[in-house]
Amino acid sequence: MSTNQNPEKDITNSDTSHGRQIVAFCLGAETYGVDIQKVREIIPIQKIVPVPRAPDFVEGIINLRGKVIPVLDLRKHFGFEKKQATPEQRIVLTEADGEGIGVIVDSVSSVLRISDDSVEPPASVITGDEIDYIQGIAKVNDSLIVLLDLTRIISDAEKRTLKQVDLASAVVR
Amino acid sequence: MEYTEDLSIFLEEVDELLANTEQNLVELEKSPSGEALIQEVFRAMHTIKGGAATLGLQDGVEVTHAMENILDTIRSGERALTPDVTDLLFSVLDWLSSWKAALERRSARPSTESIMAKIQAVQPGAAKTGEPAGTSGEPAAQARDSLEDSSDLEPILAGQISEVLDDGKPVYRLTVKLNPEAELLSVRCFQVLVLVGEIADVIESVPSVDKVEAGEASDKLDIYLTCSDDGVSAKKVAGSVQDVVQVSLVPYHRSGSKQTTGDSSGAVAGTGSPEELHNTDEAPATEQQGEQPHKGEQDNGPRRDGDSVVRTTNLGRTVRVNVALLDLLLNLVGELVIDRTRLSQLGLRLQASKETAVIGNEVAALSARLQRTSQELQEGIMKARLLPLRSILSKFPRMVRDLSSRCGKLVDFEIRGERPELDKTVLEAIDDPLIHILRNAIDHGIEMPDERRTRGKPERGKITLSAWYQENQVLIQVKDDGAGIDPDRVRESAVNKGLITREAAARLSDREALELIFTPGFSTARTATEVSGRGVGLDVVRSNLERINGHIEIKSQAGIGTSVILRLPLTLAIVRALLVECSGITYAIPTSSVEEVLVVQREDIKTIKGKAALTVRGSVFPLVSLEGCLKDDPWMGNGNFKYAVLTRSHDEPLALGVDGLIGEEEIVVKELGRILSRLKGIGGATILPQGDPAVILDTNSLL
Repeated sequence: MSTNQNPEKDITNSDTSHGRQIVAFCLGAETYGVDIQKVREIIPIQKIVPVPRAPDFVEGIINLRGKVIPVLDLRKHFGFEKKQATPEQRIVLTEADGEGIGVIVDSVSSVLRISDDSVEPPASVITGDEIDYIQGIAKVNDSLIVLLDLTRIISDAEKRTLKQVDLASAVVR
Repeated sequence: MEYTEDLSIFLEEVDELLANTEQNLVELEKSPSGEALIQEVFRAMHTIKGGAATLGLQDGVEVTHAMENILDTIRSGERALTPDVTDLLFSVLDWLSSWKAALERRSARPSTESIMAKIQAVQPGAAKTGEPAGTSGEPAAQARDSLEDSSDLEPILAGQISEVLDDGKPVYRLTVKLNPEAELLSVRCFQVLVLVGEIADVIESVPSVDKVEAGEASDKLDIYLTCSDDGVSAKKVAGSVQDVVQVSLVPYHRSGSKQTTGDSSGAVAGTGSPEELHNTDEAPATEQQGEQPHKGEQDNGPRRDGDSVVRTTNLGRTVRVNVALLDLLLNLVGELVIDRTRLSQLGLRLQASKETAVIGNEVAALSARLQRTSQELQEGIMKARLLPLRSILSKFPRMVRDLSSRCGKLVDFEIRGERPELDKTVLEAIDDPLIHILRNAIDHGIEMPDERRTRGKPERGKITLSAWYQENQVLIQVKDDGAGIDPDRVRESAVNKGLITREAAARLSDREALELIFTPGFSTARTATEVSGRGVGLDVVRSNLERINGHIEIKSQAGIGTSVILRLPLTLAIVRALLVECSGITYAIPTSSVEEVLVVQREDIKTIKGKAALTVRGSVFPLVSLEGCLKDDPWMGNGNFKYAVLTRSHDEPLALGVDGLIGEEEIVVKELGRILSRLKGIGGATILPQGDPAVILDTNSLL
């Protein structure tokens, strides 16, 4: 939202050359990036209340200014191992079809401008069936940044939820 | 029993009178010459005194009587309304408030000692304690006083009337009929006497003021009076009193003094109408219905109008309903909704099979109709929970007055539009925020008088609280013409408190910078102690509002003023819920699906095929763990729980074992979002009063 309460959301500090602005964050040793247009807010980790029977990549719900927002753990979503909470962790808030949703990341490193020609399409070998939400790989200096489409991640998560619910109700019957 | 009812009616009235008086005093402070306002205050005290006397509350009589005395000297011009007198009057109001509160709680009433001492300090000798008489300035009381020594009232009455007639003044008899069913008849009679006494000289009344004060009143009151006009205004004010159903005015002529004396004695002694007292000259008695004369009262100020509309004119159309009853109805509707869902499921099952498809269709149609009805019912009950905004605004004028005088500031406070109605829960939730905002406006907004002068502003600051409907919302705006908020100072302050880096602060637009004041940790310690005294900041104000789906925004222009706008929902999806705890996590269970809550005693637990169960009044409740249910392992914990919540799951009894009971709370139901919307046993989420989110359970589908 319009409230810039966190220095991380440092978005106005860039030139106006071609390309896109991304928020870069770390998960494990890797760096990921999401389109800054899709990021509503970045907030420090706060109290996350678990939701019973929720898919396991859903960490729980938070109170964001009176709204109940589900928070996903990207580590779990990508199948990484669980990590102890650290002060660097952040919740990146995004929106999918008008609904707010948060994803937990290890740390937010910076806001970068990347030029379109530094982005390569993802190689299917690397991405496997995750191709849907990986938009490309950007080379910045010597490191690689995996560009994610958060909206796709959420619809992917929804699909997984549906599968689980169907399975559950099948078991009940 | 009757006493209790009388008392509660009296207390409600006192409540209103005190609120009105408080406003009047605040007004009076601005324009100390407001005679009409002094009258109002006087009248309010008089009504309270009358009620207190009827109920035998001598301490209340003592204090209101003393206050009357002071008001009387002001009324008569003997004394000016100096600030020390105003302060005293406010102290008396405070005393009456705590007195009233004590009566409500049935606890020890406050002592009159210190307040009486204060009164006597201001007006030595004027407050004769323990003498609940009317004041000397009041004609009715005057007449009564002169009669006090006489054991033989009636000839004197006639004699007095004669005396007045001898002076060449007209005498009228005003007959007031009250609704015999009305509560507190004597208080109403007292009110009539006081009101009439203000505009006419009351010679005597039947029953007399004394008797009325002693509670001996019937549904009929005769007042003999003389006045400069034709008595119409006296009739009007008498008609304005609540429960008065009819007022008639007849000129009284002497038809021979001796005869009148004799007749009047009989008339006064009996309760019947003293027809003999007026002679055969049948002046057409102009009848007036008790409900209309409110028009004549409008010049008493706008405060009247809302009250009388609700409390008197609409007497037959509005009723007071206990909130507990509304809550019960709301819960019952909740159950109805659940049953309807089951009915529609039943319909589906019947429709699935060929043989029962016809019945199934009927059941489905029935459940669809039931859904519409129950929804309308629910909406109706939600509307019944609406309360006028006025109910929380009435205390603000006094609060603004006290605070501004404590800060040494001059503030005019105006309320515009107190009609909007909001859900009880919403009203409760905005009370503290509004107090906070007003305090901020006085403390930080309005400048000191000399500072305002140097800036070319009027010495008196202005704070306006307005409320209005906008689409599905009620907007409340608190606007001041004070110093405004300087975005640079907000930036500076936020940086100093480590909330934001200097660079980030510099990049914020002014508007964004203003938003920083809602950041946790922004509100200064000074604000918390000196002014709010509650230790809450604007961040808490914001989160309180957001919990009820409200919104707060702030606009400010340095040097010109600040305006804070609250956007509030008219109604909410509110349910009463039981808050329980399992492994440190709080869950909400709608009370509509809770049958009972038990403390689990080891010896109560039976086992059936090795599984724990509780027998309650002949029904067997399998005892499962709530936490286990949520992990699809219901028998976890082996019946080893502190508490059990008795409920039903798929129409069968079920006892849910929980670790702790937190209490009952009205909660606002919120959506969980698409990802979490289809989870079994989970009905939504809410934000707890402490600010944490919590899951609302749907026990029926838990297993």
